[in-house]
Amino acid sequence: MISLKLVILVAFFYFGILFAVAFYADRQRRMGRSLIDNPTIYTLSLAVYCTSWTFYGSVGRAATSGLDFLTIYLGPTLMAFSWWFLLRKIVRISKEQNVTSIADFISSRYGRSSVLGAIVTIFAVLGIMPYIALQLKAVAYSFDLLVYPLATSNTMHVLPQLDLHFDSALVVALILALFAVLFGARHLDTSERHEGLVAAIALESIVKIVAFVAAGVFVTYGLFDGFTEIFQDFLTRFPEREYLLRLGTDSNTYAHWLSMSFISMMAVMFLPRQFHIMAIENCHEKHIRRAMWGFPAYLFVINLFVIPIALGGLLLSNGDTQNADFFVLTLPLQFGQGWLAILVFIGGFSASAGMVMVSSVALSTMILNHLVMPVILKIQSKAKDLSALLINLKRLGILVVILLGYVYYQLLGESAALVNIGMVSFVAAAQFAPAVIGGLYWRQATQRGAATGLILGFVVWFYTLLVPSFVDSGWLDPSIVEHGLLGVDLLKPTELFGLSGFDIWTHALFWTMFLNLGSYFAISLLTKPRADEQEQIRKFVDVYQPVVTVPERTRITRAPSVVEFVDLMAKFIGERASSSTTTSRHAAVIWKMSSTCSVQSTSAVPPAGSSSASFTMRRGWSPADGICNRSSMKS
Amino acid sequence: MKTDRKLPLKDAWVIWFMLGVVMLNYPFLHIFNKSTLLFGVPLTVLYFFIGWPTSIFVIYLFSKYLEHGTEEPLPKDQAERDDSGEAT
Repeated sequence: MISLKLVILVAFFYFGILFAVAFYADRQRRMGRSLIDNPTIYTLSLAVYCTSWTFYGSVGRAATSGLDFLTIYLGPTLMAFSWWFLLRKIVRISKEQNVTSIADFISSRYGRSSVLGAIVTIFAVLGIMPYIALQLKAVAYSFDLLVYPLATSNTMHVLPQLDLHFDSALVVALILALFAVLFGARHLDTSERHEGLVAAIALESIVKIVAFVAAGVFVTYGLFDGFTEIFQDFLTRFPEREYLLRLGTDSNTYAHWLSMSFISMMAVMFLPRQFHIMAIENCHEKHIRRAMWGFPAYLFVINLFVIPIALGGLLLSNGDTQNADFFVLTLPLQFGQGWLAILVFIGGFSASAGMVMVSSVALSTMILNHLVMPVILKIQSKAKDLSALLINLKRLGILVVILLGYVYYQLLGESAALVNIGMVSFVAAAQFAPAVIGGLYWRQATQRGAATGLILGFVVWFYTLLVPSFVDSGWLDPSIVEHGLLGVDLLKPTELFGLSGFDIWTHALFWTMFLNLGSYFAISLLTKPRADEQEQIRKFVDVYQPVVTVPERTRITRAPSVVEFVDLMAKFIGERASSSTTTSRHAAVIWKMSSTCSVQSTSAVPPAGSSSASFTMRRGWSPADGICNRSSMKS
Repeated sequence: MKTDRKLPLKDAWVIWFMLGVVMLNYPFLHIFNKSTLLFGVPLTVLYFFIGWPTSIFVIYLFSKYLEHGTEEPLPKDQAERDDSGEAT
């Protein structure tokens, strides 16, 4: 057991360092320098992919299910190999179109459809809830284990020294919300680029890999005599568990392996936080070159000791898997390595905090741009200081996103293993894949096809993955899983339309992708891209085609033209609505906003006939994080 | 000469990606899925932990190769910044 005071002291010291780094990065940016304009920092920031799922959950998975934890990292490794073609195209488009989030990317591709932006935002928020719950659970449990290792489920969340009962998950949620606001939404003029946040994430990535490798070296070489001894001891003592080191077993079929790999490949590209760090916070396309091998190398190193820790934990706990998710923390504690345990706790906290901060900031930006802004424009806000209203809404969005994760944890997360909670979110993120990848390469893809595919994909995701979770936690009557919806056998959530014999992830992936992709293709072929989609198709599919441009490098201090404003408003309320807005009652609201903005032209003026222009909100109002980033990149 | 190098690079990349997909799935994995210990480590585990860094090394070589020329030009303004080393 570690002294509570010591844990709090070390934690606050670490928070201080993180904040100092973030503050320094923001200050450098204000001075015209960039701390994160560096391929190594970019690569490290991508490692926000490794959350407490990696830090704690992988060991738990390796100890209970076996080698399938590797798919979560082998899939992204494969995907990273395609980045020079796929990610570079996404980054190029994101810069040229001033994209601010994955919702913005999808809606921009399909004619700046505000409906599509709203759909993606709602699904992204719902889909990421379990993932945030996972982080809260991991930090809360690791804290409990550190300060009160004898806690059982009845005595969790108790501080015996202070005789205080408290909900550590809620405290963690509030601390992480505060962090996210401080790093991602302190004020609007700096939130146009989150350089401080990215710098903090990069530092956290170093801390978590150092902590995990330190624990791995301690277990492998401190408690055992290297890898060989661990494997041999394990196979001698638990020969019946050899399946943990094999594939094609009952718990680890090849179909399961394939679907987990595919889900991870899609998740690493289309989880909102990954998209944000990869595309929106990218400074230079050339940084992708190092990330292509640097990111997989990071994944390799952080996974090197997962199996030794898992098997070592099993050997030292007589095969008990109850606490397998937290072997990495309990083993140093059990063998009196207090400082190592604190380092592991800080590493685990870093893994969780990075994910929660970037996710909540990315989702909050999406909520603000695609759900709140259209409403504000419709109701003609009378607020005198619109910028204050918007930044506060963004902060509120961050808090709401994190608290939704907390609610999920309270309702559903207590009983499930870490990896199982996270996989629900991974399958949700995979639903964005057809609309994004299809939109990059397929001219015929239409807004109606994308919307139908997304809606069907998410409905089936909810039915095949969330409904069984509700049943597991006692929320729903088990009869829906046993006998199907309304007693119809074909509607069993885990054996939909009679598809049986697969694990829950393969089953859900098959049906979500079948319906998502199927309807995306079918509706796209049956409909034609509308006029407002045509121009965007060219800008996305043919982004590498040279366009004749006239350089314009001076900052425009005049008020923006109506055409320029229409283009900006199209991001929030759609192309057609924005066109009518300029002549409608909303004009007053827009021009009110214009008084708080200045406009910066892009270096590339679009060809005649195009209404594309990008804006930089210098003062007061910047709902679309990244707009400034993109514009300043070009100017 | 630059154009001569472009196509093989893209093709080689796609082939390597496809090879990676094949090597990480059934039936290829089945070859190594045996209860044999090699150097005291189970063969399946050894396969992953040797194959994984090897493939990363190949990509490292690709990325070094890329530094000598990109396939599509960078946007003009970004290319200028890259040339001058100017920070954003």
